Amino acid sequence: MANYIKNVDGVKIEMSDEEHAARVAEEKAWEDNKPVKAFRGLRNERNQKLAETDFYGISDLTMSDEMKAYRKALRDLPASYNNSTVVGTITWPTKP
Amino acid sequence: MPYLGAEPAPSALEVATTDIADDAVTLAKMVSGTDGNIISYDASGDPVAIATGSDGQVLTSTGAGSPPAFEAVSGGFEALIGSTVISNDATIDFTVDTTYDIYKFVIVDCVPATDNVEFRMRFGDSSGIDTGASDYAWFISGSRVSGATAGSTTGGEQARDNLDAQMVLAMDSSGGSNDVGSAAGEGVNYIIHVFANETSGGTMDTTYTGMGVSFDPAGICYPRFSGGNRHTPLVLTTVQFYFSSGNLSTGRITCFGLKHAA
Repeated sequence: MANYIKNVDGVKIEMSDEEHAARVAEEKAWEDNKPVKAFRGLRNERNQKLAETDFYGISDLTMSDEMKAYRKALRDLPASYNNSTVVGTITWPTKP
Repeated sequence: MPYLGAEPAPSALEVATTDIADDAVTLAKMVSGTDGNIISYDASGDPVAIATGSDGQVLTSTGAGSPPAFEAVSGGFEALIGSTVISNDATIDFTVDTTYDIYKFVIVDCVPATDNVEFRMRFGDSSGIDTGASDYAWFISGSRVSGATAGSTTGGEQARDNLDAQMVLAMDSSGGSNDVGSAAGEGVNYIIHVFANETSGGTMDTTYTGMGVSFDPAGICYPRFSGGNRHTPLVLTTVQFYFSSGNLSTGRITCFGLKHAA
C-alpha cells in the first residue's frame, strides 16, 4: 500500500516510510482517545443541562417528580454508555 | 552614372526635419536593435536604448536625469508566498524563509475527509517538521452560535494545552466530540498570523494568533479565537496544516508574507 500523500508548496509528494508511520501512529492515538473525548463532552453537556434546572431546587420552590426524574436521568446518563456506544448518538432525557 | 557636379555628393547632404513628412518613417527604416529594448532619452536628451531586463522585471523610473530601467518588483509590505488548492492531502506544507516578519495564512472552505476531527498546525525548521511531544502550547476560545442547540451551552468554551505535540486550531472546545465536520456546509475558515520573530533578531518564541469559524458534525457554527507558541524560537522554514485523522479533502490555503518595511 502506498504511503500517504503530503502537499508541499502545491506539489504532491509521497510521504517517506518514517513520515507515513508517524502519521499512522498519530491517527491511531486520535481514534483510541475518542471515547475519552466523548465521555468528557457528554459530562460537560450533562452538567450544563443540570445547571439549567438547578433553580428548581432552591428552598422556596417545589421540584416536581418529573423534574426530579429528569435530573436523575441526567446524572445517571454517563453510566448507561460504554467506550463503544459513547462515540455514537447520545439520547438525552426529555426535559419536562 | 557617376555624379559630376561641384556640389557635395548626395551622401553628405543633410535631410532637414521639414523634408520628412509626418508618419513617413516606418519601423523598417529604423536601425535594428536588441530584442526587448525600449527607446528612451539620456540625461543629454539623446535617444538611448533601455536594456531588456529579465523575465518578471518591470520598467521603473530611476528619477530625473537618467533613463528608466527594468528592475525586479519590490515585494512591498505584503507579498503572496503561495496558494494551494487542497485535494485529498494528508498534510499541507508551506515553505517560508527569513524574508518576512509575519506570515499570514488564509484558510477557506477547508473540509476534512473524515468526520469529527481536529484542525491542527505545526512548525518546522531545517531539521523538518517539529513533532516533539511537548513542544507546543495552544489555546482556543469559542462558542456555539447556530444550530438546534444554540444557546443551550455556556456562553463560551475554552480549551488549552501547554505541552502538546501540535497546535490545535479548531476542535470541540468544551472537550467533547463535536469537532470539525466533513459534510456539505461543514469545515473550517480561518486566518492565522505566524510571528517569525527570529527573522528580525527577536528572542520571543515562534508564536501565532488566529481567528476563524468551524462547523461541527451537526452543522453548528463555532467562532474561534486561538493563539499559542512553540516553546523556543524556531528559525521557521515550514508551516504545516492537517486534521487529526484522515486527509484534508477540499479547500484552499494561501500564504502571504508581511514585513515592517518594503
